[in-house]
Amino acid sequence: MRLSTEHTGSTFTAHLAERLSFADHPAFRTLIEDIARAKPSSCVFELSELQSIDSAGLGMFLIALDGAKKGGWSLTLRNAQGHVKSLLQLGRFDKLLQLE
Amino acid sequence: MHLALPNLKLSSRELRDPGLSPATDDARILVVDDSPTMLTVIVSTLRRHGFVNVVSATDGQEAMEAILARAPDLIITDLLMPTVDGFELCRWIRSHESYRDIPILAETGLGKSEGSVDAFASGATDLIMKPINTLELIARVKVHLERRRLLDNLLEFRRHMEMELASARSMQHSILPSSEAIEQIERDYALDIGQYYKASQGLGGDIWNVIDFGTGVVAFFAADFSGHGVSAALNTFRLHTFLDRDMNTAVEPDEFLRRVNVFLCNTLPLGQFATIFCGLIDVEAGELRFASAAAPPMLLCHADGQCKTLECSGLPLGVSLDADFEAHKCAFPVDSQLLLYSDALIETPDPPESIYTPDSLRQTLQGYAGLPAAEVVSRIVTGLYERSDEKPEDDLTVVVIRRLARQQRGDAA
Repeated sequence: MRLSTEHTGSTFTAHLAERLSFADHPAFRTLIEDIARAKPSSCVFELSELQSIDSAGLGMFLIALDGAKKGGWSLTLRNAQGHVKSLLQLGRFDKLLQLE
Repeated sequence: MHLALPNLKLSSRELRDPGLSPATDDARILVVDDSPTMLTVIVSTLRRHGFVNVVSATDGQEAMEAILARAPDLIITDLLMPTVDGFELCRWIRSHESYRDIPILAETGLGKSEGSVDAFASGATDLIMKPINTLELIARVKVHLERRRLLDNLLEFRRHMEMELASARSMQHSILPSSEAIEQIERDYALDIGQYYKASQGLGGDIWNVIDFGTGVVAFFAADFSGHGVSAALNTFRLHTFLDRDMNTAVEPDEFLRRVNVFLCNTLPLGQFATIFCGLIDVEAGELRFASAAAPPMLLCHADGQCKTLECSGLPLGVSLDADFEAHKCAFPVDSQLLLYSDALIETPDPPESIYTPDSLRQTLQGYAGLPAAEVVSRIVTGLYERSDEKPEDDLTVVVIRRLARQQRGDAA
């Protein structure tokens, strides 16, 4: 996974690129901690450059959602494409998360 | 008051060089040199520094005999010797599997770089310059013995882990349906079932089963736990235990998913889940009833080769207690075949480079109408391995269930 973040006002944006997989678990945990420290009111995962994701990667979104509920921030997954979009639809993640 | 002190006698071991670990002072060291003076210098230096197990040989031939009698932990050898020289001795040692890891320190004269290169090419591990610097000799011996000890530990650890994994792998295969159980169901229900299962790391998070509850329908499921390796494999055992204990009667597929979801929601840690496709084949009614929790799009093909993608969307299991699952049904006439698979089939290599996509898999399967189930599975899996430079990163399960006319059973078998 290639990751870049920006914190503007009350919004924290994480740009996730390439592939999100099991191996990215430590980096993703750090990202969740960074978001919690920033105390935003909303967080956006920008996924337009994320080409693929595995089941562990989808699990990380659930971990992020848990962090959002505990930290009182909203979580939005934005611009998922191709394979990532298909898996989010297949798993009905729209019932759990805000997808744009 | 008088205290009697014990009579202390220090053995050579207790007087050893404090830099030696217990594993190195007992090391068996073979010194090979045709010069009696050099032999005496090296052997006595080693003994003086606490090495109590030193043997010597005066040429390569004698060294070979000593090695065959008992392999040493380290060898120090001269290169230029009569009969069998040091180069030939090195080559002979390296040509034997059981001696390949023994460190060999070759004595060489200063400035003889050509001989040094030949010594390494012949299998020497390191060089000792002549005239011998005793401190350097001892330092090099210690380093190579320690390195050998660490290597042995690693190899032993690896051997141990491989045995553990082989045992665990065998246990995991035991929770998959046995070939006898599959054959019984094939006979009783005029079905033809082909299957392939391969864990990506020895152990995997895929599990599938086909069960006859004796109610006239065949129940089956294919599950894939998130992640792979040991943690995912442990989850397959959790599921197997739950199903064995609490799900020993046939229930409709959507109800099956609800019950398993409650179990997994109460069992799995945050971030872990399972995708599952489950179904019931009612042979008498010619019907397939199924439900899915985010399983990859399974395929159903009919005798004319037309294939359709089954509705498989749904929340994965173990994520939300509020999840509900839709029941579906469709015709499953004679000569229909159902393809079940885990996502590694359509995600190898990583998307978008994957060999199969759900759509290309459907087209591929259309060309396999009428083939025995095992042949269909074999062609699909072979197609993946032959066309992909990468092995699946995740566990791979492929199952084909084909319905036969009663009289076809013998032909398919």
